[in-house]
Amino acid sequence: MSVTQIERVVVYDENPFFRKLIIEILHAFEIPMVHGCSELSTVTNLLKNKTVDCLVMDWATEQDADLNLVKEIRKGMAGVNLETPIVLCTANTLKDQLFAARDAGVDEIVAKPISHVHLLDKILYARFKRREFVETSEYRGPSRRRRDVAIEFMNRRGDAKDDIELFE
Amino acid sequence: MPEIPAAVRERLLANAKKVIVKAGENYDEEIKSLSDALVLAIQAADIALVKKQAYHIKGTASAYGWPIISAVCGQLLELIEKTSSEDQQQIIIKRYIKPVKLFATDDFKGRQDHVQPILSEIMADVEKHMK
Repeated sequence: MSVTQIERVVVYDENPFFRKLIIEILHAFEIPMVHGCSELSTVTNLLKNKTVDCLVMDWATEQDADLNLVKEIRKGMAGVNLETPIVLCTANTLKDQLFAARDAGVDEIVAKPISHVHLLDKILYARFKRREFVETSEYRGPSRRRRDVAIEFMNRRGDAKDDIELFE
Repeated sequence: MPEIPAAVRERLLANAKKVIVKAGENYDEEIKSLSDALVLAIQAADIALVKKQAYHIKGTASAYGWPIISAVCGQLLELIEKTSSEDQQQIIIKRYIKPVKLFATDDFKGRQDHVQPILSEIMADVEKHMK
């Protein structure tokens, strides 16, 4: 077993330079099996035929197909583990773009140009410390809430004390 | 989550760092090829391809000592994104041929001074031609 306990990762990036870079970084993390793909159909085939610990994928500008693949995986594409951890490496870092990626169901996002430290941490988080997987009619994927924030309750009727006494 | 001893983590990260440094040694050729591809896409008036090539430069160039062309491509992408008319997008992309060619030359490798004035100058040129 590898030190990270991650055995197989699929890498998708159309750009050969960046794809090779990610593959070599993952090998440097001593991940034994890293598959590089330049086409989404190859990614799908691998996800169907192998047990994959994490999918590290690019989302190029205007490539709706990339995020659509994430959505299809989360919907339950035949033969693919719908809970496959997904780390998105992207230079699309505008707020709306990040929201779109999150709403598609990715686990973690690493902004390009990537930091090797972030990449290692995000892969480990996606695989071992992921947020609760939720399923609703509109969304399926890791919970989109990152923080547990206490919601302050304000009694707008102004009679909170009476209410408390009533239910004691 | 597996407990990775600090020394092991350090080893993994140090190895990854070496990979990144080594990749940087080959990036000078890569940026030339990416910028050539971007110029060809602009000349072909292929907006989708322009976006794709500019995206690749934006995502990698600043990490390997080419921050100016990375910022220029970031600006180009943002402008295309904000512009809905394809005619105007065509005007915009044409204004980037010279900057892309210029800032991919060795003279600008490693330079990160004057990024903002350069972007402003390109922007002014774009606005002039949009009128």
